[in-house]
Amino acid sequence: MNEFFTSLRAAFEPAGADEAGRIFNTYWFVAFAVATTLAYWLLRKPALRLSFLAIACVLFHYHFAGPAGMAPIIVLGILTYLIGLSRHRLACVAGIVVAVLALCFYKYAHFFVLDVLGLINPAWGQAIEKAARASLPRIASPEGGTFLFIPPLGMSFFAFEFVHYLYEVRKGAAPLKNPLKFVLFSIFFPSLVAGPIKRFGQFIPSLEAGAAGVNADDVAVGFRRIAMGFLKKVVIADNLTGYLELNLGTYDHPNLGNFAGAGLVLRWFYLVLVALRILFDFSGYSDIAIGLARLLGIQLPENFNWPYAARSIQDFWQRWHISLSSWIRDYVYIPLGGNRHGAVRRIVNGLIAFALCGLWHGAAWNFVVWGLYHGIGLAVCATYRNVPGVGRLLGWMFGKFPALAWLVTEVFVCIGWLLFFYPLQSALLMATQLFGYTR
Amino acid sequence: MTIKEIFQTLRAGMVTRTVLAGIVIGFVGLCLLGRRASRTPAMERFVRFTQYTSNESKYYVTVNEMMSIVRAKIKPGQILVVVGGNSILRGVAQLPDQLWTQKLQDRLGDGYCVVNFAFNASLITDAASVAAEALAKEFPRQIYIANAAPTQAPTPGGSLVYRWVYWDAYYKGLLIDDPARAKKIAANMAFRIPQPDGSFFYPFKGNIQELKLASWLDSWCYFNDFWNDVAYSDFNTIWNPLMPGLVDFMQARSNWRDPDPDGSLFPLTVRFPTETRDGELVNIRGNSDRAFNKDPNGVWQAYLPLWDDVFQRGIEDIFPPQLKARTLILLSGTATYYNKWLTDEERERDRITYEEAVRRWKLGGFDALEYGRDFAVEDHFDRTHLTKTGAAKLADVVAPKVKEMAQKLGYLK
Repeated sequence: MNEFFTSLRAAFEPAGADEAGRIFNTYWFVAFAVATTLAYWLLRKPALRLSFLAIACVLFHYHFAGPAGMAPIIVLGILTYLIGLSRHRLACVAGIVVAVLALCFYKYAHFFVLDVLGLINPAWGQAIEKAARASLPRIASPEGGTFLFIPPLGMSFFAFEFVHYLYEVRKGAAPLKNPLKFVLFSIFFPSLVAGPIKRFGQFIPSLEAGAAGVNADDVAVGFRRIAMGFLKKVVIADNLTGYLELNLGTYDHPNLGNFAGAGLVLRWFYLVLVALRILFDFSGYSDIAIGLARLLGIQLPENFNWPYAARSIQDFWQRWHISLSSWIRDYVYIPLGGNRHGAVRRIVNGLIAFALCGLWHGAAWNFVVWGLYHGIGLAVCATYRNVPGVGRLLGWMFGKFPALAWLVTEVFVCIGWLLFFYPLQSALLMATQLFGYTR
Repeated sequence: MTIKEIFQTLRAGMVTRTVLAGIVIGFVGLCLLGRRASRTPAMERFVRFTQYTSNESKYYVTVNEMMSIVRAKIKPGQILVVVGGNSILRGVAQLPDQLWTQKLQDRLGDGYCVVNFAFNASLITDAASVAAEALAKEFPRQIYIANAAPTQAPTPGGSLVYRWVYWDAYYKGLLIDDPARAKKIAANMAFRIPQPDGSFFYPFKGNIQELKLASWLDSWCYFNDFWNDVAYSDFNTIWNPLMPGLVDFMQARSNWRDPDPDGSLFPLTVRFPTETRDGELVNIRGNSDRAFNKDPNGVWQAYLPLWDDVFQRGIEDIFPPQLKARTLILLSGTATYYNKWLTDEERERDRITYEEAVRRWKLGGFDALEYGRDFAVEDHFDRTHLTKTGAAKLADVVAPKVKEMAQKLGYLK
């Protein structure tokens, strides 16, 4: 497993995958997960189990994030917990704003300052970047050398979970009074680094059920999911990553010449591999997280449901990264007005939601464009049947020939992955080359 | 509780136990298979490690694999000769039947068993030395051969690249207890250099915690031996750039042939290209330019901070004391081709540097010899590696020395 130690570039992976790669593929994590699970099983009283699990989660967080990396989640967590207890509607809104600002600061300061502000004046961008960098948590690289400046561990996930919690409390849901359960909701170790994004209304009852008893079904399903997850990640995704990086290069060094030099069939073959690679990589992590939780008797929400079987973009987003897409729907799209204010607002709301969805995956323009690309796809998908003539004909054809609908959907999704994995210009060039353009 | 409920509870308990028992039995079964693999030599007719059986292609040889290769190869009564060191002794640019260790075996005869455990870029203290040490009890009549540059002091416990073998053997309890070496390894791990951002660079540490944990777990579970056996004999699961196809990489590593070419077939213009000459000369001068300086009277003076503080202290505790005398260090000379671009003074400095290195190794309790100064241009494949003619000459130099050592160590009684 030595080769698993390689760290992955943050912008090259879905949010959390770089952290998951750094964590799930370590012997420390394996030993920790085994020891924690065995000890949890041996404890018989639910209160003891929950206390033990909370201590284990803190230990896990401390080991991988260090004290500096833990500070933001402690501060945000205490704030969110107290605001939740108060049930004060305005305080909830303020708490949501703080969580979002913290996410923006830690994860997107670099992007906003260098890529957005830097477009206007590079010197300003560099000056602010220097100041922002000084305030990021620093952890010593395990191999020595300079400090790593990284966002707090699991920032993308716990910030979204806190927003969800405060939003629901503001709407009238009962807050979590037991601080132990709130701690576990905040830093539950299997889902901390790569999701799925939890909902406390679902998680807390499942946590209580797990503490009350783990049954054979949980153990069998848990082991199966973990094995499946490692198979997807280690045997399929990691090998595809090596193959694709050799042939197509990386985000920083895309090998455009090799892509252009390949025949048309080979280019499409590469594209299919890119799509398979990200599916197996990300769903592998989700499987490991879901399986680990299940060994503790706790059910996490599913994150993937055969996404490449989708026959429309809407269908795809109901199958791909489900916990994120449903979060975006519930806490961005619907609050913006959803589809309640006419077609134009619906499209604009969708574009905003998906641009944010793209940005959540990484702090770079290509992710924003990837989100907008899907937002546009969804808008077209929702409205094309209203276009007289061609639109109705297409609608009829997709209804009559589902395989055609599937093919169009997959081509759209796969081309989107080029935007996800490569810088904008490279991705656009590769996309045109898929259709025979080679100049 | 009704009878039906009692029955259901019992049944649920049985199912839980059955599932857990299945998992435990499966896991223990795999560990036992790993343990069996660690004692069974998968590499039949082993000649040397190739790029398909080395870390270059993400294949991490275990100490048990090396030990089982020796056990399969050695005949009763033979003196074991373990060859370590870097690509020069691995025999880059030599076909398997041209390999210098094959020639050495021929020259030494049936009384000796030569095994080539050298890896590219490995140090004296890397994998081969660990295997030899692990075999020291079982085969006490052994000689360990490795090579080095003249002023190079190896790191105890192995280099960052190959030290997994040391920790593998350490946690399996195969090494000789050596407090001095352990102390030096610990000191190296703690050695740090301050960085401008306030952090510290640990040049010898790497991610040692993970490596130690992995090695400790493996000492119980034998997963490395299990997966190496599967990858070598059945199917490989890890893609790497040296086995580049999307499907080809899955072939068992035993199917991949030793790829080293016959270096003697390459013309001299390819072996010693003009465009790299200046760089190679910098490397050659680098062997000696810090080792000796001329004083005002024109007499060469050893640069003592290098020789005493770095070199002599560096080689002090690399091996347990009882293994030093059976160690032969070869100081690899550079290609004769480059001699004509060195000044007389540079050639002289180079010669005395090698002589001093031999003396220092001997002072440290090892045996040592230099080779290559009298080789012909054709004997080298490049600045350091040997062709088949160079390989034969190296074997000619080393074989008498090995016999002499065997005599001195009392192996021939």
